[in-house]
Amino acid sequence: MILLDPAISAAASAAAGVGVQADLALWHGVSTELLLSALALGGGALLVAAPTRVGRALARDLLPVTGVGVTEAFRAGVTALGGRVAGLTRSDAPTRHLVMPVLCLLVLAAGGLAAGGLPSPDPRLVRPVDWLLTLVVLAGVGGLVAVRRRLAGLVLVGIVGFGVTLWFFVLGAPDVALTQLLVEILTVVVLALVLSRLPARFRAGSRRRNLGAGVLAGAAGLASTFAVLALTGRADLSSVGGYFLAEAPADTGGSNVVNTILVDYRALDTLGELAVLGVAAVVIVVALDARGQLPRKPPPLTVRPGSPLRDSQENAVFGRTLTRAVGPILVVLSIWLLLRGHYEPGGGFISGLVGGGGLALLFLTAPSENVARIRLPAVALVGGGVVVAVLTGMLGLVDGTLLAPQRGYLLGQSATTALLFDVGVYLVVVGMVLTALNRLGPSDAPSGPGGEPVPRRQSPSAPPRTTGNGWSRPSIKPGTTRTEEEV
Amino acid sequence: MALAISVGLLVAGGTYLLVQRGMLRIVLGFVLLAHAVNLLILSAGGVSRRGEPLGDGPDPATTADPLPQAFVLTAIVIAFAITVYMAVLAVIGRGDDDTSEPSDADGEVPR
Repeated sequence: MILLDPAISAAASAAAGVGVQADLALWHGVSTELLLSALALGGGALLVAAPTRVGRALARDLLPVTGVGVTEAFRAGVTALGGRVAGLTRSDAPTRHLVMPVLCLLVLAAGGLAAGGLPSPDPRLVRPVDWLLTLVVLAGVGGLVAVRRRLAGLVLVGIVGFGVTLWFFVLGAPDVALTQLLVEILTVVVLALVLSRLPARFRAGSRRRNLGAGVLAGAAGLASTFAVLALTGRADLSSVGGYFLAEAPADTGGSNVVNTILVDYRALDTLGELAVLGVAAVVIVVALDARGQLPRKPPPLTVRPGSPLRDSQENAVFGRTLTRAVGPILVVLSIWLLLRGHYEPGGGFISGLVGGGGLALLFLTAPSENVARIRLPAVALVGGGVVVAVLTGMLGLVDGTLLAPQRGYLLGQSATTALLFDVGVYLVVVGMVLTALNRLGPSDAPSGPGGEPVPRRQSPSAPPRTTGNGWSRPSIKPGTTRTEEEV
Repeated sequence: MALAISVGLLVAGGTYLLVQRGMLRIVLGFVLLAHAVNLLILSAGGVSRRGEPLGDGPDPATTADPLPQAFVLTAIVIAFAITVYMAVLAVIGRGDDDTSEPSDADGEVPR
């Protein structure tokens, strides 16, 4: 034993990784190990001596369940649960899919409320003008929920947009507000083009759907209000934000900090965004080419024969004259906004949207839909913009980093390649807007002779004009033309 | 407080429109939700400082955080692209969407 102890100790230590001192002996006394060995030997002897009796004892069900049964039940249960979960969204109806994230957010909010509760309100966070803006938002959203006519919905979504724009101004974000304002205008233009192919009214939802939607919407609204109250608003200037404020002019030569973030500090984000815009433009083209659009509906106007409103050629004359004057101004304005973006509110997005707005004006004031198409290669503009942005970014490789803007002096003026990058942004935005206008705008077939709108009689079986939540839409007096309200 | 209520109103309206029938109201719902999220992001930067981050040496004690503003500016333009895309989906729908006049829904569903 004394001979073996050191060798076994060394082997055991190496195997266990910790020091083990082996102590071999023939008799250690009555220990657990000895009893276990005795149990094993005794059990073995019993099996050899009386195999049938042991077998019979084991054949009986020892437990009320079997292992196989448990496994099978578990498998079937998991499959059924999966089917139940997937069944919630096994549908083509968008509602089924769109409700799920909202429900998940509600669960999160309820958990947060139970865990944390609400902090006390901080008077520094509210200014009197805030309440005015909240009223504007309330008016727009309330109308939008109740509205039945699509055109009125378009106006109301514009009101909400302008309310949000004012919020951005009040919160000290002029660039964001300008962008929102322009996007709002262009959204209305694009949606108006789409509306000409859709019915004049929204289909009234069933009472049950409206009630469910109301409850869900109320809960989601409350939850998000609480979340904003509890989680945001109090933050001090973030360290990154503080760095940008302090260093942007020295780092980039620009004094519009937000724009320097877009084109200097976080240009990769902006490049990704350009890609999204480009993909959207391509998808619009592909989707419309693949499926075609719904036919255009007759304009929802009842205009008396002989009324001067019937001639679209004549009606557009004011707009056309205005465009002749405003068009060049818009072009110059957009270039000016592009050039000054590094220093003052402006930049690629805003100037691109102004340019897009100019194109929209040109489009809308054209005497007929068939001459309205603006013959610029829209998708090529988008692609060109992305290429310009990427190539400009490559210039940064001089510095060893992709997308780092290079600064230098051109004709005695401080110049930066960030401006070229902004040109790429400009092209993509203009191209994207133009794609939407060109593809959604022109009619697929020429309208009636002379572009005359076909009068549409109002259906006698119009749906009831109230919705489940008690809002009533403004009614039209019988006998009056709808022109006065809708043109 | 007022900002939180505005966000809540926008989320409520957006959710209500999101679960209606017909693509166009879903699009409008998405527009409202985008507004709500953008305001939320700006709110995350703090709403007690509201100075514009412009000019040389803005005072960090009163100037709004520029980083959320840059995020939101990007988000607005992306939301615009998505809105246009979804609007396109509204007019390539066939009989399965709210594209026929409510009164003649049974007879003249274009296919």
